[in-house]
Amino acid sequence: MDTFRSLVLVTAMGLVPAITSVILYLLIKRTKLSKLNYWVSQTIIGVIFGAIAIFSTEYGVYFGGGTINVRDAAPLCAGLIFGAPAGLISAVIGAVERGLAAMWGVGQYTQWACVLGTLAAGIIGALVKKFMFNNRAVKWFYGLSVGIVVETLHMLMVFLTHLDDIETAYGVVSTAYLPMAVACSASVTFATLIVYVLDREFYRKDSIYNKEERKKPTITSVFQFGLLLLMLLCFVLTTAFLTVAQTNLANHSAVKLMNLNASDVVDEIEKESDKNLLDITRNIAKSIDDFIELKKESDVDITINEFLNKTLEENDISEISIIDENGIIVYSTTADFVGFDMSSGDQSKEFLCLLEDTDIYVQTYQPIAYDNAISYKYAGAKLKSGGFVQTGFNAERFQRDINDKVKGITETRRIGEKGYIIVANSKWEIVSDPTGTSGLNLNVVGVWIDTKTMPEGKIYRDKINGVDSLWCYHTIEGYYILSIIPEDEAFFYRNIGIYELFLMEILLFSFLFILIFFLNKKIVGDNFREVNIGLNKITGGDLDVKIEVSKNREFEALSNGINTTVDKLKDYIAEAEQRIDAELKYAKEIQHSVLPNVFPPFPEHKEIDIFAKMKTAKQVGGDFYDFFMLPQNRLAFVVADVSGKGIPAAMFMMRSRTLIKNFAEMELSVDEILYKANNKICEHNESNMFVTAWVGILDLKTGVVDFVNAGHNFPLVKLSSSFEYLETTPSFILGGMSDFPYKKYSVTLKAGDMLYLYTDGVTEAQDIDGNLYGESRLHKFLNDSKETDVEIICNNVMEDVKAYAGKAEQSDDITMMCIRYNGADGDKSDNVVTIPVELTGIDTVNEFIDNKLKACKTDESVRRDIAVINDEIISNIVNYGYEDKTDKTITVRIDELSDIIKITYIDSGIKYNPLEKSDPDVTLSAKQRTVGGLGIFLVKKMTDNMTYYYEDGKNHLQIEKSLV
Amino acid sequence: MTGLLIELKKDSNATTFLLSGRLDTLNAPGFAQKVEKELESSDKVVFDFTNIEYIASSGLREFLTICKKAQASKTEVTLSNMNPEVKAVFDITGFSRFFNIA
Repeated sequence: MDTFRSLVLVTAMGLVPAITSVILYLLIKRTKLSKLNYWVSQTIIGVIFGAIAIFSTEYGVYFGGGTINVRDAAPLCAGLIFGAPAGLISAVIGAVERGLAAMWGVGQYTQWACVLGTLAAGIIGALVKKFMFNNRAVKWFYGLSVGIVVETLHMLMVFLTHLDDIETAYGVVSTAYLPMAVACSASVTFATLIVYVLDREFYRKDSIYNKEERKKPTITSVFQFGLLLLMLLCFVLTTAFLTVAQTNLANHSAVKLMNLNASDVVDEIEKESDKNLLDITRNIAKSIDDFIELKKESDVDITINEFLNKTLEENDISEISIIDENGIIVYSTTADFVGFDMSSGDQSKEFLCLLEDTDIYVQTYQPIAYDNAISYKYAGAKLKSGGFVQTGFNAERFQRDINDKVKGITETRRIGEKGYIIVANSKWEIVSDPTGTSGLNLNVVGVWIDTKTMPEGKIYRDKINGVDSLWCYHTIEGYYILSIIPEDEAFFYRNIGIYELFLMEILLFSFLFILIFFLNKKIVGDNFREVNIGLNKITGGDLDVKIEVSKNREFEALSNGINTTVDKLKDYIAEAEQRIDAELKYAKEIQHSVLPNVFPPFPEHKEIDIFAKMKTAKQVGGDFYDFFMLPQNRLAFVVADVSGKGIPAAMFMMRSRTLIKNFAEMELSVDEILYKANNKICEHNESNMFVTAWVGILDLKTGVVDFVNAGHNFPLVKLSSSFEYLETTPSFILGGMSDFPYKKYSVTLKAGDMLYLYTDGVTEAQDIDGNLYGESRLHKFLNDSKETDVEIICNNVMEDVKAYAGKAEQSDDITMMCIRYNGADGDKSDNVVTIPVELTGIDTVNEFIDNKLKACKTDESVRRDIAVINDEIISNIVNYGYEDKTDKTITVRIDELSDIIKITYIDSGIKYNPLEKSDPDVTLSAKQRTVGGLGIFLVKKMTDNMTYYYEDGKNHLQIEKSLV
Repeated sequence: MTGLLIELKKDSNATTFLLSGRLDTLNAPGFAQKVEKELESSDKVVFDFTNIEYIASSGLREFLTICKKAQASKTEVTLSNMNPEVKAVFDITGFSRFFNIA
């Protein structure tokens, strides 16, 4: 019970460093203390655990005649949980104090062992933390193992510091080892387990492996496990083998020792017994001889048999027989024996020596030849009358005679130190015993002898007198001679041997384990880790990563293999990319080719100008535009955007386009067209794609545009003055939901009005910072431009978008369409007049333009300026442009007529750019002035802008003048 | 209204030409010649532009001739009632400096 209390106490002491570890860990990881400098915190922790080590030393627990403590747990916890410096500092503090503590009464015997053990605890803890766990949280299992190893080392130190006194050292170690190893490893296990649980997140962060992969064990851990099993097996086997061998050896020497001692006793008893019986037998022989003499001389009335029986009774003998010279029993107290031939039994034959020279003979106690079930001790003596007498004694008879002699026989005998001999008589009654059990039955002290199954001289183990003992027995003269050695004496050296081996093996296997662990980690684990880190980068998309793990042949080959594979893969990818690019290019071309791309598409319809442009993003996109004439001079036109990109979007686009066109050609109204098209699109739309569209039908006679906006961007419409967004409540997208009603709106265009349709690729074009081009920018750009040519408008917007995006990659298709309505009679030739190269043509042109201006209610003053401009330009051409004017014409075209007028003068005369002509000096006096150059100078002054270009052998001079 | 009409009015102070129409390429040439005689014989000549719609460089050319001739004969030439457009042409070309503008 005291033992148990001591164990509980020492284990409880072990909780001090463990709980301190947990509290300090929480303080350092979870509070502001985490900001402490590493070395400062390590020193503080080291000192704290040093103090705990001192506490353990000073308050050791009394156990089994010595003092045990858990000092080693303190530096171990400090090292394993907080770091190498803390572990070492506390170890030094604990060790120094332990060394000094011998001066004030702490065990001197283990002084140096304890100092070294404590230092070892700090060093081992530090090494394990730093090198096996890379300063990460230590798993509890290792805490347990390290605790055991450190205590083992500690105990081995006790042996090593007392090589000259192994017996005492063994006593200390065998008492202290188990409780100290249990308490210390329990303490460290507790601390590491809790801290590991608190610190588990750290392990989850091992990001080179994914969740599934993390469920699998690492090579290192499998290897560790296997290694551990193997070593445990080796450990158990070697220990078992040694135990068996040493036990046999110990038994053998114990038997030898016991037999030696026993044989002395046996000899002594036998000698006593023989002497006693021989004396008796000699006397009986003498009395028989006397009786025979007497009988010969005088007539004695008793027979020889009667005499023998009388003698038998007097001497309390079991049997007396007389054997004649022929070895035949002639007389016997046991009548049956008469006539028995002594030479017929092995036992009886021995006595025939009495017929020769031998006078007297005694035999050991043994079964008799006549009947094996009976044991007698026989003695014989020669008779003077010839033949001999043989006396048989049972055990009780002769033992009674020598009991006194036997009693003291074991008194001074010792086997080894604590071994002894006891002698019991044939009734198992102990007759001689140095321990004071005389008179007791053998089975009372704990021995049971079955002579049939338990051979003599062999070793048996029993608890004798309450002590586990080895014993063997011998029999002599019906006595049982028991040699007994207490087990702890018999096995003392065996135990020391096993203990030392046990401790050495723990250390040896631990070091072997760590060595193999490191080799495996270094050669396999670390290299695989490096390979995996590289592979992670590669699978992350960086195919340019090279894996260079070349520390050994296998990994070199693996690295090379991976690198070659990745290179090959890169080649294949490049090849595949090329092929896909080519295919996408074809797809793009096919997609483009279905869109109308000949401009002007309907030269016969002067009522409209139409231009459309599409610039696809890198991938095949889902944008499209379409326009086609319907009966009764109606123009249907579409701008649409399919959700998504790539081949699926392109195919969806083709289908949507065809459906809209087909329904449009069925002469339905625009809302019906979309209603039906939508239903068809919804029918087979498993991929849930959709399309936004703006579909209009322009009646060329009236300028009325019926349109439906199916979730598309609002287009811009220019009604006489400026472009504005045509904002109507949009209907639902196409492909979203069947049976959806589409709302028709209409807008009426007059001559010169325009519609600009686009997809979000325009307004959502991004610059390099991700800012959008935007609707307001588009609006402003269109209004600022004043351009009236649909093609130029589209090109200009495209350029502006491109300029805005800068180096940013185009992310979406950019599609746009511009329609200009020129009026019902809006033949564009209305805006052109052609005159012969004659001055009279000036009036023609003037009249033509003035009429146009009048129709626009242009102010008279402006009209006069324009008349002057016409006059000057045409007269200039007529007067200087041609050498031969025959059949030549001048074309004057009104390019735009709104808030501004743009007129282009086209002639096939001499190439001449009037803008290059220098202005006349208007400051000269009248005399100095000439009349040349004034005309063009006036034109320049009167117009807002002039442009000149020479194309197809013609001068093109465009003037631009504001009409407001 | 095409062509150029020239109406002559004489009073004690000055000789006034009331001009109507356009002084443009088709009509201007010969204008200076038409007024030459009066220019030489009068001390003061007034060109009334009230009914002139516009003037082109060919018209200016005539007036340059007129100016030079008037300077030779020391005749004072006044241009009156020009509309803003016509006035602008004279101003732009620096011709305003050559005449009295009324």
